[in-house]
Amino acid sequence: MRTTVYTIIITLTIIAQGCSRQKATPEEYIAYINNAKNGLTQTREFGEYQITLQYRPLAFEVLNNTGAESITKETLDKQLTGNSGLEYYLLKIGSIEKKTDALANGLSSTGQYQERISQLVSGIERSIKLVIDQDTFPCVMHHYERNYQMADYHNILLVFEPQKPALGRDRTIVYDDEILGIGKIIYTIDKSDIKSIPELTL
Amino acid sequence: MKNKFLLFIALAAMAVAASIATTYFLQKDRSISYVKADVVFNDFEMTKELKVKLDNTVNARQTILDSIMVIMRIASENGNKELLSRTEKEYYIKKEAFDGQNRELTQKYDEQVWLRINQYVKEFGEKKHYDYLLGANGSGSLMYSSEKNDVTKELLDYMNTSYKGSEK
Repeated sequence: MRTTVYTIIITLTIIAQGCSRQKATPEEYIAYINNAKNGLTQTREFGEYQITLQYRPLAFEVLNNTGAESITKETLDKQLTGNSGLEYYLLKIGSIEKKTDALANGLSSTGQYQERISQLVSGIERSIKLVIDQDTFPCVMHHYERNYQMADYHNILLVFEPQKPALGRDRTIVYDDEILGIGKIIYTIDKSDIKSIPELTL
Repeated sequence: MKNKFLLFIALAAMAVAASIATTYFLQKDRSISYVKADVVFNDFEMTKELKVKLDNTVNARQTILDSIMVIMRIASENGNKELLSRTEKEYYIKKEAFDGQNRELTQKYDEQVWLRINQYVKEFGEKKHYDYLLGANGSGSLMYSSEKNDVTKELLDYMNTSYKGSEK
């Protein structure tokens, strides 16, 4: 009888351990999010372009902005509370060849490059939607990181505010491109991949 | 007893060899296949979506032209030559502009679709290990092929799944 009880307790403890999220230090957490194998980063290639979307948990954004080495629990908790309800994604427009500026591909006129930059600064956010189940959410904020051709790619940080809790649901980002002529691109981030993100510990 | 065991082993070995050989030859048969290019294009979800978008834009422009036509008819019925002349001119200028814009938009959408199809066909061919994947559109060079080499549906399923973001 006692053996049976101990066996049940040990089995339940092992199951509980397996079900709980893994824990990660700030450096491990950043590495996990940036690892394409974890399903949070997806890349599509069309013609000369490589378009990548990365799901960025709020904690990841806080670590990037504050610095993984210097962040404190107090700062982290304050930032998580202050920005709760927001979802961050990074859209990266790159060149497959990685030798030339992606926006310089397929230009039909000299002014077209500046037009493309202008659309990234203001306008691209209207082409991107977050879809969760049957609900569609617009991009509420975006930031284009202009690098003045120091790199072949262009990063655009996107922020959405789903109105209802979206825990345990797939996220779909729909980017209806009007800049590069490649049409609509759809990315789906599995709920299981989001659930598998380790817990950040300080 | 021993003989029966040896016979069993021999039969099992022959069955395994036959299975491997069949798999190899079936695999080899997949190196050249064809798809019906017109079906691929027309049944692709992206094509259908852009066709709806194009139709909406073309119809909206046609509505503008129809409105001008109504004014022209009224001006004609009322004998208002000045208004008729002005609206006629406006109609033909707008019609010419809209026709050009519609052609450009059709071309733009066609290019987007073929860029996407070419990418997915490339990925499909690599994943399925085809050496050749020919496009048959009735006016092409492939005039006949056995039905078993038709992978149109398989490619279309792959393309529509990828387009909807489910294929990573």
